[in-house]
Amino acid sequence: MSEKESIMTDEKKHKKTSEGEQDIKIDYENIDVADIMDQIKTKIATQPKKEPEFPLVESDYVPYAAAPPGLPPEASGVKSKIKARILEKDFEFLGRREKALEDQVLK
Amino acid sequence: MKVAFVVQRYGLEISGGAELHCRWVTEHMQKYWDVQVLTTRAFDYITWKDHYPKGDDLVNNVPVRRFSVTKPRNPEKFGRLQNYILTNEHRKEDEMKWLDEEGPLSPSLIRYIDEHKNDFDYFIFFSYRYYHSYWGINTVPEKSILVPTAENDPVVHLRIFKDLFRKPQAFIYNSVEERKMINRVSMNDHVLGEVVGVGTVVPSEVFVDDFRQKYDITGDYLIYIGRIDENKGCAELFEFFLRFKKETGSDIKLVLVGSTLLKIPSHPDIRYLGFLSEEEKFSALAGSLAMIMPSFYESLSMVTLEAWAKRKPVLANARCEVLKGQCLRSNAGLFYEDQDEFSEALNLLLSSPQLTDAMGKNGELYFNQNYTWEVIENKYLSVVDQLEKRKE
Repeated sequence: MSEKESIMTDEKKHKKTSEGEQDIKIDYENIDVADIMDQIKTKIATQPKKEPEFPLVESDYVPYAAAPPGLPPEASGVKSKIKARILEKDFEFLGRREKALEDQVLK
Repeated sequence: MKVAFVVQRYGLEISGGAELHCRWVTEHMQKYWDVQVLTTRAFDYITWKDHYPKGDDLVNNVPVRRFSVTKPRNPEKFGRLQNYILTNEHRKEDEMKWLDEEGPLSPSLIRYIDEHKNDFDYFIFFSYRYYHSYWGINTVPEKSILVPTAENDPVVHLRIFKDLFRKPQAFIYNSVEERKMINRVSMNDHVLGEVVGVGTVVPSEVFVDDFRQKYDITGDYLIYIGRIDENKGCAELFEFFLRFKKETGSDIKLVLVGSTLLKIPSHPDIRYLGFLSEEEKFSALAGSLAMIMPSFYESLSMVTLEAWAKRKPVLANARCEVLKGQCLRSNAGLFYEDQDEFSEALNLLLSSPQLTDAMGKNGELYFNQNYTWEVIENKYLSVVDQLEKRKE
């Protein structure tokens, strides 16, 4: 047990018991994200590797929000994906909030 | 002190990250300096074609001078050229051609800087990767300050930028990670550099109940605000989120705000709201369990700062060094590299209101210590003050 853990009072300890797995201990008055993430990684590492219980197949992704008209189709293949990636990366580098452009396009 | 802010586009209608960043900083620094914006007539960031009238304008009381773009960008041609230089051995001349295509090609802007360099004490350039910064800094290196707004993408490794990054008198970085990256690619540690970022305006009053009622949203939800795009990590987010729900049976929802370039899964617990007003956006944020930031590339995520300003923890993509670094420094966010980490971190957030509350408070503290406008303004003043002292 680390020094930090040893000085935590019971009240400060959070115990999340899930399927008997290892707990994540948190000092709520002094949140240490690095420590929490270390505990999460340790917990995952000690769990038996599980296969996904179900496949996420294409049919799970029924689009109801299509891309706006006029945009290039989705890339297929490594080369076109790289190209699309580069194009998008550059053109949209500044477009964090491109509402203005969309408004213009929709006018 | 007369200071020119030089940026690729400028206007109230322009909401792109670097341009908005520049406008906000300019408007705030007007209290201290005689400011002037030098920019192009472009509005469209894809072609840069002229849109605004040429010449002088006044935007929120800031004088703006706009210069014509002599050749709009051809996206196809530019894409081919960029693809070539990023995947092939090439010469410096090829990179210079790339820069011309990158644009916005406005030689008259550079000529103006050259002819009026004695009228200004400093030129603050925004966005390293464009024509105006490259040629502007090369024209007045002795008076240049660069706000690079760089992300960890291949362009930053071009050799023209290695040279460029050694020329300004100072850098104003968005994050510790951005500074490290630029130091690493250019070995410019000797150039003065401060991590500053940008402030943001957060409404004090929000209307969570109204928001929930209007959009019929009940229970816990994660919120994503931004462009819904594969490059922003959204496809992976959908997969991780749906798998988490199937494996845990959780009734958590995912609320998406912004424009979409991606097919959004049709699922009752994934709610796409499109664009929201600032008031609704902050109400949506305030009502959330946490903000999810799945992006692989961020120079400075303004919405992450907004989440922290509203006391909300963040669940971020750890493969974005900036986001991971911000979470660790603030102790206000968890992060994930894969499905297992996503699920464990989200489980923890869902099961512990005490944790989300404590991280939210940390976020607010981090925001107040680093990203209020008073802090940002003082950092800009400090950079210029240090440069002035060097002259003595």
